[in-house]
Order: sequence, then structure tokens, then C-alpha cells
Amino acid sequence: MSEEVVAFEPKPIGTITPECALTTVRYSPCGRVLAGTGFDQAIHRWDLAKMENPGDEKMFAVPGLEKVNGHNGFVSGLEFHPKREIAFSADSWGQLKAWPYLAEKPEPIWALPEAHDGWLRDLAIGDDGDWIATCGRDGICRIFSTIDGGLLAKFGGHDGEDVFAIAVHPSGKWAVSGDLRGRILQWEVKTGKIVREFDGADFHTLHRLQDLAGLRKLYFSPDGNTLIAGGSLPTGGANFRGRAHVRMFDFESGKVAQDVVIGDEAKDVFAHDVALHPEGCLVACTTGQSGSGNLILHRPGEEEPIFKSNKGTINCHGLALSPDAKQVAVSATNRGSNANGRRLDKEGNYPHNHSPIFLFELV
Amino acid sequence: MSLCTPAEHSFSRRQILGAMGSGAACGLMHPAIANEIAKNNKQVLFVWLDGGMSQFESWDPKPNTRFGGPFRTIPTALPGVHFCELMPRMAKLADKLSIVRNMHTQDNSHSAGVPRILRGDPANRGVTYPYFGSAVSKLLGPGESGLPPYVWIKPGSGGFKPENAGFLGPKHGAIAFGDGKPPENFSRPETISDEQDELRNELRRRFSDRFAKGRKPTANEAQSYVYDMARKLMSRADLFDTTKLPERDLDRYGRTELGQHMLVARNMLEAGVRFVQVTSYGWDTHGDHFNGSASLIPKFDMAFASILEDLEERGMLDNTLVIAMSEFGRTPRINGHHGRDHYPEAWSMVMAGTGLVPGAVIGATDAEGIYVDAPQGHDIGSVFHTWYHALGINSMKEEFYNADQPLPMAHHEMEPIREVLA
Amino acid sequence: MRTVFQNGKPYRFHVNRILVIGVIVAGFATPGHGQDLARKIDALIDAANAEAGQPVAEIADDAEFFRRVNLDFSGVIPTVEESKQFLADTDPNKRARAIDRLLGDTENYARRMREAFHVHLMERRGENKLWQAWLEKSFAENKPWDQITREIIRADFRDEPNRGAAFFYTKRLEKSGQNPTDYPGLTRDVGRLFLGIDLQCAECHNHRLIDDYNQIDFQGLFAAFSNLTLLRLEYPAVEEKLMKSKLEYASVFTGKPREVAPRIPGLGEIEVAVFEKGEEYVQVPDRKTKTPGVPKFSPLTEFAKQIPESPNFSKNMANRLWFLLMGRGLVEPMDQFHSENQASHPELLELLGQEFATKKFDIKWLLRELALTKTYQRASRIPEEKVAPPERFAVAVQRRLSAEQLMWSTILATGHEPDNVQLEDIEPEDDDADEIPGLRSRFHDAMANEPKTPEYEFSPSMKSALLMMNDPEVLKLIDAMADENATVDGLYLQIFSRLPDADEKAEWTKFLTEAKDRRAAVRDLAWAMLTSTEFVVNH
Repeated sequence: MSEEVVAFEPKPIGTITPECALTTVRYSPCGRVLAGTGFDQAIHRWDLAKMENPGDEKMFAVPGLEKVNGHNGFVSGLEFHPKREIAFSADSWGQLKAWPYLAEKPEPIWALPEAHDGWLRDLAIGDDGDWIATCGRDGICRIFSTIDGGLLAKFGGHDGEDVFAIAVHPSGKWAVSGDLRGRILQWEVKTGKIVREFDGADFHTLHRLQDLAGLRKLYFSPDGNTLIAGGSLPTGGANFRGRAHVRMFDFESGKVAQDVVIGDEAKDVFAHDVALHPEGCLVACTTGQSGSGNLILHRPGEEEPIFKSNKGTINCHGLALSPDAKQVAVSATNRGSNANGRRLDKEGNYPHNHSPIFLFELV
Repeated sequence: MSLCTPAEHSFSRRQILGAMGSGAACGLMHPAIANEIAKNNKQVLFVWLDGGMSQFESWDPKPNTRFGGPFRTIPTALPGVHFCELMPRMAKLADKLSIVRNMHTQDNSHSAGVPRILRGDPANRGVTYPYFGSAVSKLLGPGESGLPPYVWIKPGSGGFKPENAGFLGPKHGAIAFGDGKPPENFSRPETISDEQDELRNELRRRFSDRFAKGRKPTANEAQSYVYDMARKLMSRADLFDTTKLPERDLDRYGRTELGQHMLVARNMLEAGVRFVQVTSYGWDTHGDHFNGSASLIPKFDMAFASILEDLEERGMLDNTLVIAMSEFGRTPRINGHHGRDHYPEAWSMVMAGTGLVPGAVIGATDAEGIYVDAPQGHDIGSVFHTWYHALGINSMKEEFYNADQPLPMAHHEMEPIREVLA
Repeated sequence: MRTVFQNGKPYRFHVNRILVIGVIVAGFATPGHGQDLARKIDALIDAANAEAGQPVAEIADDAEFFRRVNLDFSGVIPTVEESKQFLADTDPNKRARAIDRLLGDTENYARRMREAFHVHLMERRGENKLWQAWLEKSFAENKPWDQITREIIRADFRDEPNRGAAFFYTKRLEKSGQNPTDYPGLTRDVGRLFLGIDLQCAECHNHRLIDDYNQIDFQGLFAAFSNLTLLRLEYPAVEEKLMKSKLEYASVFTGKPREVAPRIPGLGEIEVAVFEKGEEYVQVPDRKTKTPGVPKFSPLTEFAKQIPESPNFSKNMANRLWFLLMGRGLVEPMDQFHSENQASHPELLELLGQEFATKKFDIKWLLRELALTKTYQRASRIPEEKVAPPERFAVAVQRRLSAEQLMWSTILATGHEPDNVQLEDIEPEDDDADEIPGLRSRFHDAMANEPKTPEYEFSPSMKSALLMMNDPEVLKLIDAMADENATVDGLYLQIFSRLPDADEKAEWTKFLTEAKDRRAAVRDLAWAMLTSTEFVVNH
């Protein structure tokens, strides 16, 4: 990890307001498309090249591209091919699809309706883009060819336990996957052989009847020296209680390099998505009890974050760094998303929630 | 606030005043009918998922809608009826169930909602109504088993819960077995032989009965009752012991808190306990609801399906009313913490067993699960009437009698759900 | 000497009470004087029964009376010696003397009153040493009820000797789970316990059923109590926040916005005094030194001054003390004072309220008057097998004994001294080991109600039966009675505080004589007596 860490002061560029709640946002490698997925069985796209009035809260605008339909349940994962103009999306009914993300009306290049049995939770691209690694509630990790969706390998080392997150080492040699019980396993992509286990047991606890799974994200630093696990150290169930947490492992030794307690101690429950700025700063977004949640920039080794958004970024689930690392996008939740009972809006409609996407410039 | 909400203000002042300070004289209006009812051999299994189970992730899924959530649906034993994929075993037993998909109740807070639902939310008559378990305990009594008629198996602490009984009096409260274990001081010390125990209790009765002569009998009745019941229960330590059950049972019910408690419940029902309530806590999933459901609901599915299978196999469904429900359902809207909040306006509950039509699906919700089909849906009052009728008690006709105050058994403006009554 | 340790302070009960008489008579009402109220009470009760054609029970025999009055005023059955002396005493005035003697035994009276008022005021919510000590001291000094109330309502942490009184507030303001601080619950309890009115249903609107209970009554109290902050200090303490305006509220029915300043039901609003910034405090709060603030405008100070003037204040406590000795309030439920719920004897209630106030809320005085009545001293047997509704007070109610009364009485009845049994829990030295519960916890857990549940009626639970049948420590107490020389007379005096009648004596003498193992037979007989209905009620 870089010793020279630069301080950033994120500057708001503008807000995009999609109709739906989005749990994932990603930039295309070309930087032109911002895409997000969530609860409405579709992929939402925006044409960043046509952004108007950045930095002007009122006049800011980004034209949307046509939604990509054809998924079921939640669209739970989205990744871009590093070199080709292809995106991969996955859903909670187990479907995995590849599609040309710049097309006006994208038709799938290939689709695997039952890539997993049920909830496909996470996907990660091998560095060369030839294959994609997936994991899901069926307890299996799979490697698919990005060319035709062919199944290349299967990994069953989680013994059927729900696998929440997967990451591929920049070398492409290993994958790391983490399950409901906080078992974080490093395994060889070619052979499926388990290399070792990282310490993540405290990302899980059993409270009453409920297994609380705190692990949400696994992520490698671009140099491959650091493995980052993000999520929550759970303390209680029903209304998930816990402490938003990022754990950084030194990949060479496998040891915990640092535990970072992210965000507001009393409020932030999950670090849902995590990225590492090339200059060494952790970027994370958090969710928590109603009204809480932050975009956080945290310099490893320091107690306090260098930036914590405190305006609007309520319950952020999705986070993305632009390819040039000059921009960050975070998908949050509208205000007043909680209410017991059937409270209708002024027009007498039952309301639904959506995810404003906040764009920041990292200066 | 417990009794007082704007919805409840139909009352008669005379009735309220009649109830003030009423003592032990309460029961059914007509003693002859009361005797008739007490002779029946019906039992109840009442499974309470405290905090509010989601109807979407269980009995009434709405896949691929705005609020449908991530899960798939699966076909059930009832053609055209789907459950959420988190309930594979209940799906196979759907033809044994009576499913009410248009529950519409009044309270969206736990503290008020739980007792309101469990007491049947009757119109306010200035008295505290009993929980269903207390009412059954009072009406049907302990039966031949001699065991406590109202047993509550719950996580955490146990004890005696007189408050459940309302105006029926503390005697009809629940006996709670915390963590499915027997109460404190349950085992007789080895130094006391059967003979000595028999003798000392015989002597106690002689002292007590002599004292009671010429005095108001209620104190002695209460004191004798608790000793008799305690002794009966002590003779059945086996009911709490699931360790000697076949491995297969433990696996089928699930090696979870709820699975264990459901096995104790099966033992209790087999031993003849009149009313067994099993509570599971931790269903109030305001946050991370879908992962919570993915963990919770399959565990409920295993335990509940197993006991239904077993009751059916033993022929016990013929006389046992089985109920599974919460104080409300959960919102269609998914909040920012990926939770669902409280939703009494449109939710589901299920029943099975005695007096009911198996495989009945009552009511429906709209495409997104926001509204029930009929404007009123079914409130808990009509569900209470349904339960009483299923147990052979005509709650439309009979009344409770509290001192000199006649009280409807369930909400006087509601009726049983006729379509599910056999 | 019998010594009981509670809060680090020793108790002695049954310390030659006979000797105490000489000490107290001088400073206390002598028999035959000051019984006007007792006579008036009996006249009113008798008249009502005569009018209703209600037969009344005879006066209880000496043993029943003596057991009853001991349980009421010292919280424990009498010793064998005391019973013997009392039964042998031929003085026609001996009952009055016994009452005075017990009321004059400050130590035991104060302990008993602490136990009773702790249950009354805290309803088994929990314990606190400073609270217990303050309560006990209050009764030892025979503090008037208005003063006790003022100390609770004011809860002034600067008043060091009376700090414990704030526990009434602090325990109720503790957070429970994710629920908001229960200010409405505290408001309701002040109404219930001090004024005899349950305003629960008046929180959100005027009471639908009771014309006398209006939303302003709840909100006026709530204005002051919701202004409290619970402090985390080593003693129970609350702090009043600065109040700058009246409390705004609205009826859920009409939606009409209203406002009210702190106000006690039946009295006028207390004007909210607003001070300039910087001038608001008598004592400015300092978080660093943990010094709480004292605002110049203190609703609690005003409440404490005014509350005795509230219309029900005196009658409420008179009714509660009546309940304490008679087993049923004149107004029932005791927190339903309103015009639609008349007292069983309205004139009597008025009389008690007036006299209690005239005597400056002297609790001991009123208890004595009540105990001197025939009404109190009636037998618990029903005359002529006739039904006697409890609100007629024609027959003594079989009253619940508290967990504490049962514990002390069981210890005494099994021939033990409080200082040679394990009363308190023992913390193990080994951290992993479990605490060893003392008798106090054992009896409390088996006999006391759940928290927040008033203990008004005799409602034994299965736990109490399991305790007596199986608890090794309780059985150990009883095992100590296995004495082959024990006699039926002796057992009856020791456990039932009376002598057996001829039938009883014959039956049990035969039983003991025919027993193969007489020691075991005595033990089993003692167990059966201790678990019998006769022992577990105050009759």
C-alpha cells in the first residue's frame, strides 16, 4: 500500500434520481456509462458523456439510456469487461447475462437463466477478462467463460453455506470468497484447491433463531497486496444490529493488517461497498438505522475519516470509483424511507423508495 | 397505551361499571353449555412469530413486482397457489392448511399490537380480555391430563404469566417454560421418597380443607390448584427431554431453538396439554430483511412442517387446531436499511386442523400486496370467532360472564370466516 | 436476639416486645383514647350492613387477631412466647395494648412499612439501597404522608438524606430495549399511586368512559414529568430541563391544538416563568464535575408544594391504608377515583380523607384507628354459610401475604433466627460459578408478582408450590423441625400462632403416636402446615 496518502475533498457534482432503489452502481471502463441495479429487475444506465452543468445543483443533468430488462427479483450484481464493451449482470433468481452496454437497446450476448440455484450474490472478473467468478445462496462458486457463458469450474468449499462475496486476485490465479459464517476462503481458480482461510468469523453471529451474515464485500487493492473485507460485525438480529467494519488483510502473510471501524459508531451498521483509491485512501459507503449512512473516505492507519458526507447520503448501498479515480458515485436512499403501516402520499398513492445517486469529484 | 385507541369507543357505561372490581365470578354465561364445552377433547397449537413475519417471503409472494423482493416462488400442493421459495416443506403441506391472505388489523406497533392481537381486539368494555390461550384454558380446562392447560414454550425466561388471563383471573394465565426447560425447583430432591411426598401432600390437603371450612373457598382453591398442577407436571419430566428422541426427529425439526421448542410442544400435545403456545422472537426485520428472512423462514418451515406432519400422522389434527401467525405483516415498501416495516393493513396467517376446511385459501391481496381484496379484509376479531367455532364453541351466541357483566367472546361486530369452517 | 441484616443495618424483631411497651406508651396514644374515628367507622359499616340485611362475622378470637396484627404491623407472625403471653393475658384492653406495642416497635414497624410501601410504590420494578433506606427511615420517623410524597415528587438531589426518594422516578425513566423513555408511564403512575386516578386513557383524548378524566389532567402532569432527564450518578437523581413554554398537545379525536402548563389535576396551572439567557439557573449544570443543574423555574418544586391540596390526595392514601388492613379498598379499583365509581361507603371515605388530613397525614395514627375497629377485628369465617360480598366488610378477607411476610414467617415458624439463615445472595469467588441465591431471592422469585403488576389479590403461582416442595434451602429450614419431642400444641403455636381445637389435637396426636418414625412425622406435619392455605394467607 502506498505510503503517500493524499487527502481528498470530494466536491458534489450533481445528483441523479432514478425511479428505483439501487444497490449497485458501476462505471464502465471507458468512463462513459454509469449503470446501477437494484430492486426492479432492470439495469439503469446514464450517459456521462452528455452530462450538463456539473457542480450546479439545480441545473445538473445526465441523460438516461434505455433500461435493460430481462432480469428477475433483485439485480444483485453488475461488472464491466475490462477491455471489451460488455457488461455482466446477475440476479437473485440465479440468472447471469452478458450484454453490450453501449448498445441503444442491448440484446444479451449470452444468458444463463440458472447460473446459480437462486440468489446469485456477487460476481468478479478475472483480470484478463476471459472469465467471470460468481457466488450465491446455493453455496457454490462458479467460473464462467465471458465469451460464451460456458462453465469452466466450480468451487464447493463453503459446504453449501450461502456465499455472499467474491473477489479475484489481480494475478488471476486465486479467487477469494466469503460466506454467511464469515469463512473467507482463498482458492486456486484452476483447480478449486483451498489455499488458506482468512479470519472473518466475527462477521457472523447467531442471534436467537437468526444467522446474521455481516460480510458484504471482498475487494483487492489493484496491486494485489491487500485484501479488503467490508460489512458489519453483527451484534443482534431482527433489525440487523452491528458495527460497520472494514478489515484489511496483508495478502502475503494472510494476517489482519488493520481493522477500520467505519462511520458513526452508534449509527452505521454496514459498510456495503468498498473501494480503494489508487492513492491509498479507502472509499466506503454505509447504511444503518433509518436516516443514517455515509460516504466515507478513510485513510488507513488513522482513527478518524478524512471525509464523511453528511448531506443526503442516507443509507448508501452502492459505490463506484470512476476509471480515472477522479469521480465517485454513491447510490443512497430517499428521505423518509421508513414507515410502519400504510401511509399514503398526498395523491393517495402508496409510496415507494428510490436511490438518488450522488456524484462527487475527488479533488 | 393498551386499551385506548380511537377505533374502540363503542361501549356501555353500565357494562363498564358492572365490571369494576369484579372478582372471581367469571366464565361462560350458560353453565350447562360451559360443561358441555369442557367435555370436548380439542387441543390448540399456537405458533407465534413475534415481531412480524413477512407475508411476501412466506404465504403470499409477489414475485417480480416493485415490492416483491429477491426470492422466487414455488408451486404448492394446492394447484395455482404459490409460496415463497423459503418454504419448500410447507409448500408440500399447503393442502392441509387454511390460509388467510387478507388479514387487515388495526395496530402497527408491537407494544400495543401484540396484546391486542392476542386478546382478539374486542370492542372496549372497560375490561382486559384474556389471551386466546387463557380463554381456551378457562373454557376447556386441563382435561384428563391434569397438566397445566395453558403452556407457553418460549426463548428466554419462564415463569407464570397471570397478565395473559385478563378478567378471567390470574389462575388462567400461562405457564411459560423458558428455553423449553422446566421451571425452577422442578425436581424433587432424591431424599424425599414417593411415599413421603404422597404423605406430606395428603397432610397439606387435610390442613387446608379444614381451614377452608366456613370460609370463602377461593383462597384454598387457588392454593390447592397450584400444588396439584405442580405435582402433575413434576411427574412428566420426560416432556422436556428431547435428547432421547430419534436423531431423525431432531434433523427433521431442525437443530435450532425453534426446532427444539416445537419438539417439546409435540410432547406436550401428545401428553394432552390443552393449549400449547410456541413463540419465536426476532422477526421484526426492519433492517437487512431479506437475508434475515433467508435465515429465519426456512427454520420455521422445517419446524412447523414437521409438527404438522407428525400431528397428522398420529391422527391428532382431527382434534387439534393449529395456528401460525404474528402481530402483523410487513410493509410492501422496502426501506433504506433493506428492511420491511410493520404492516397490519394486508397480511397473512395460517391455520390447520380441527373444524377447518383443509386447503382453503381465503381472500387475496392486490398485485403488489398493498391492499386486501375486500375493503375490510379479516380483522383479528373474525379470526377469533373462527377459532372458537373450530373448537366447537359458538362465540356468536355464547358470552363470557364477568361478575354481572355479559361480554361477547370476540368482537361483537364481526363474524367467523365461514368459508374455512368445516 | 434476632438480627436481620438489610442494607447493612441490623434488624431485631421479637426483642422482648413487652419491654418496649413502657417506652412507647408515654409518647403514644394510650388505650381508650383517640378512638373516636374507630367508633365512627364501625358505626358506618354496621349501619350499611344492617340496612342491607347483611349478617356479619363474629369478632375474631384472640389468636386470629394477634396473628393478623403482627403480620400487618411487623410483617411476620408472632413468636410462640408472644402468642402464649397474649393468649394468657386477661386484660380486656389487651388488643389495644398489642396494637400500640407493635406500632411502637419502630424497627419492625419501619421494616414492614418499607416492604409494603416498596411494593405499593415500585410494584416490583427493582431494588435500590438508598431508596430502601430512605423509605425505612421515613416510617421509623413516622414522616407524614404529605412529606413523604413531597420528597418523592421534588426528588431534590441537593437534599442528601432524602436522595433515595428519586428512585421512584429514576427506575421508571430507565430505557427498556428500543422503547422510548416511558414518560407517559411515569405520569400515569403518579396519578394512580398518589391521586387514585388512572389517566392512561386520557393521554390522547378526554377519557371516553370517565367524564372526570380529561386530557388536560394527563398533559398537565406530563408537562412536568416529561421535562425530566435521568442522570447517571452513583445515587438516583433526575434533573429538570429548562422549561420555556407550555406543553402543546392535541386530541386525537378533534385534532385541535391545545397547550397546558404544569398542572396537578383539580388545581390551577403553574405559570411558566421564563428567565433571561444566563439567568435561568439557581445552579448551573456542570457536566465535568457531574453537578446537575437546578433551574429557577422548577415545576417539581411547585408540584411538591401543591400536591397535598389535590382533591383526592388524602382520600387516596386513606383508601390504600384501608386496603392494607382490610384487604380491599373502599374504592375499587384503587386507582379509579371518579364520580361514576363510588366508594362502597362514600361517607366513610370522606370521613377518612378529612380526618387523615386533619391529623396532618399521620400514617401511624390512621393505622391504629383502623386496627382498633371491630371491622378490622372480625373473623374470617363466614357467618351462617352466607355469602358476604367483600365490599361489605362483614367478614375478614383472606389476604395475600407478600413474599417478604412469607419469608420472615417461614423462618420464624421453622424455629430459625434471621441471623443464622442465608438471607442474601452469595457472589461466588470464582467468576464462572453461579451466584448462590439467598432466601430473600428464592421467596421473591417464587412469590412476588412480575414487575409492574400490583400485588392486590391472593394469586399463588405454581412456582410457589415448587419452591416449598423442592427447594433444598427451604426444605433444610423445615428439616430442622424434625424433633421427636414436638407436640401438637407446640407445632400449632409455632406455625399457626394458635392452639389446636379438640378435634385437631386428637387427630394429630394420634398421627404422631402411630408414626413409625416420629421425627419424620413431625417434619412432614410441619411441612404440610407451612404449605397449607391457613399459613399462606393473612386471615
